[in-house]
Amino acid sequence: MINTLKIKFDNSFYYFLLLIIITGMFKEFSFVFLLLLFHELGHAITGILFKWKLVSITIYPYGGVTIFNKLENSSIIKEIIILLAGPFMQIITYLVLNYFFKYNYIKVYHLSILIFNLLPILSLDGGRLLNLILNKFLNYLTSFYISIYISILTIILLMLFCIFYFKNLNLFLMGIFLIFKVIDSLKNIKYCYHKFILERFLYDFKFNKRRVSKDIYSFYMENIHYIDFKDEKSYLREYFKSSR
Amino acid sequence: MDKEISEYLSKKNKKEEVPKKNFLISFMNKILVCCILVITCLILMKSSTKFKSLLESKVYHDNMSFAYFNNLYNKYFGKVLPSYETEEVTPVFNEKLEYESVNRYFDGYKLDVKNNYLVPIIESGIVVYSNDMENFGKVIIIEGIDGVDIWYGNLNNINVKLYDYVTKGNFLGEVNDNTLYLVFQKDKEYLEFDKYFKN
Repeated sequence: MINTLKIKFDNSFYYFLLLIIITGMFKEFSFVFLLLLFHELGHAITGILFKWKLVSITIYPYGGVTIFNKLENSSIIKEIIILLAGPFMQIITYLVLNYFFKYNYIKVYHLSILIFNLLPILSLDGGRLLNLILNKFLNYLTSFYISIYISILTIILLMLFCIFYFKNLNLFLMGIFLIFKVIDSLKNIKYCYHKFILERFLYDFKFNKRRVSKDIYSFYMENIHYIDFKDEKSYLREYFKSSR
Repeated sequence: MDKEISEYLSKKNKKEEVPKKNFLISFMNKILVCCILVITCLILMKSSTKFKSLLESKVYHDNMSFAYFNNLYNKYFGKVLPSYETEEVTPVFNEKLEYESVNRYFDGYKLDVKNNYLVPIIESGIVVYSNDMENFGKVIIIEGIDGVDIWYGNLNNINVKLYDYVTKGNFLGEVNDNTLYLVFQKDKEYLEFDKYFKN
């Protein structure tokens, strides 16, 4: 496991580092970096405990992304636990740092990173959490599109706030970056959904809930479906045969 | 159909051999580039005295004015790191510098103040030096946002640490007996006391 652990830094992070060096905020930045690193390690360690395969950890200026090589059909509760482990680890790190160093700005950085990461935008922790909770009640595609709408709305609000209230260039650039991330996930959704149904065909998942669904595009997570009086697996077998 | 899938899965399980980047070779390349840069610098220094003096003045005697850049960036693009104004952050200490007389002392000035006078920060900026110095006692150098370095000498009970951003009017430290040394420096030139406070 440990051999595969890779911590990468995004290119935007180097721009950020240059800014830090020019403005001489070495101390402040080291605390921000520690908070970000332990946040991501929180995700990574819980993922490894669940025996998920860790691909990489990428660190961005105001957050990070931990990528696992996981199944699209993995259990919702496990994913939620992994998502919540990051903020939890960050809070612990903050308490430890606050105990040893008496700087007021650590609290500010901690809170702003936490709030930023819990915004309901799809590539951030908050958005993914929202998507998973929606998946409990709605089907895969509907919950995805609802969370996309919510994240676009939040980004627009964030940008407006940024222009008229914060007047901050860095946050504005972050907003543009998040828009690109959302466009990326919109492009990838059909492949994700294909992976989602292909996994159901390839592997045997044991779900408790059963559901009758109209067509192949309204599947729910953690449910076994029946279409046209047929079992899900036999229906999928025909689907993949015909789509070749 | 099932056969194809099983074939695909067995292929996937076999690890594809990716040519690994040789760590040693890339590391040696970086070292070689560094060597070339250093040697060209040395050759240029040997061949022209102009370059040598330029390098010396820029590398050894100049430092980057962090506080100036930070102020500029904050003015036009907003804060680099998230922050907000809090009321309870700093103890209230908005005093002006009070002194009885000013005399020249080396490059700077010697101020007669009250016994154990609490020194306020004259201009907000970043702390770039905090150590003992000859003839000045314990010295704090604060690089101001206007580009002027202010040296505060003969202090104890210091409230700030190296590379802290400090704001104007806050508490810096206590004077040892009843003298405070101040030096005003801008771009390697020492400014006069009256001129600095006029601006």
